Amino acid sequence: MSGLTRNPQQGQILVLAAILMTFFFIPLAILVVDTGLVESNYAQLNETVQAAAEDGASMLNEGLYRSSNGRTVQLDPVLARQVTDQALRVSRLPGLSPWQIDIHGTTVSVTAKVTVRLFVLGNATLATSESARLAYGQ
Amino acid sequence: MKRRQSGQAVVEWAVVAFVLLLFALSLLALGQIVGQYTAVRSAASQAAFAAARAPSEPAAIQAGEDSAYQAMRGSQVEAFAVRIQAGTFERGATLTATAEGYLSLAPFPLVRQILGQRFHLQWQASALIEPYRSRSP
Repeated sequence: MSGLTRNPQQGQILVLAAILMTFFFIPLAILVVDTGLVESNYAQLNETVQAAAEDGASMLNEGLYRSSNGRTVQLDPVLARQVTDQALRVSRLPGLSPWQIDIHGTTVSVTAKVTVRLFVLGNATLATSESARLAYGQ
Repeated sequence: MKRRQSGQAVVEWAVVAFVLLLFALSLLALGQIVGQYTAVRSAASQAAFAAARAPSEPAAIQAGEDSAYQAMRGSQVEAFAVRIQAGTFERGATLTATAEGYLSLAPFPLVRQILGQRFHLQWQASALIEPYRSRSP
């Protein structure tokens, strides 16, 4: 073997490090950032939808309540829908797409989706559904 | 010859290990930034929702601040502050809560070089001033 022949083991650690960076550290960094973004957006979507449902569920039918001397307590479905809708609109949650509001009896249910722009992995659509019920005298 | 090779491998490994350690620390920093960003966002929304349900403007500011500081308890965000803009605090109006703070990147050398000594975190949340839980002053 001549002195000019390169040792095949030379630079092996550098190659291993490059592989480790490419297949481990960089994907892990992407995962950390994008998972965090999904998590924070999902938490905020839940909070916003829950608050909007509660706002809607507090809209009692005032006319009926007064005319019955406080004996009949009912949800005003029109006002409940309007207030829930307005609460979602003013939340200014980025990426919040059209939502669905269902009112059954004294329960207001809201289903909403949010599109989150992730750092690397494109867009993610998150959906949640929350309900609130008119509570009186509790 | 063999001793020279083994010495070279040790030097290579030391260099690579140092770089990998910097990357591992940067990952921790990223995790830290994302985690604290989530906390600031949550504090702003909780402040907005708490303030929107208060009976008067001073009570709204108090409730919003209490709620935000409660949400940030135990977090690593420095100089945390929350601002509640209640406007005229009329029924059906919009209230805005802005939460902000700084995350120190001192323990993370590589990230500190790129993002600076302190990373600014800010979020603004809005809520509808809810008619039945608030009164006009």
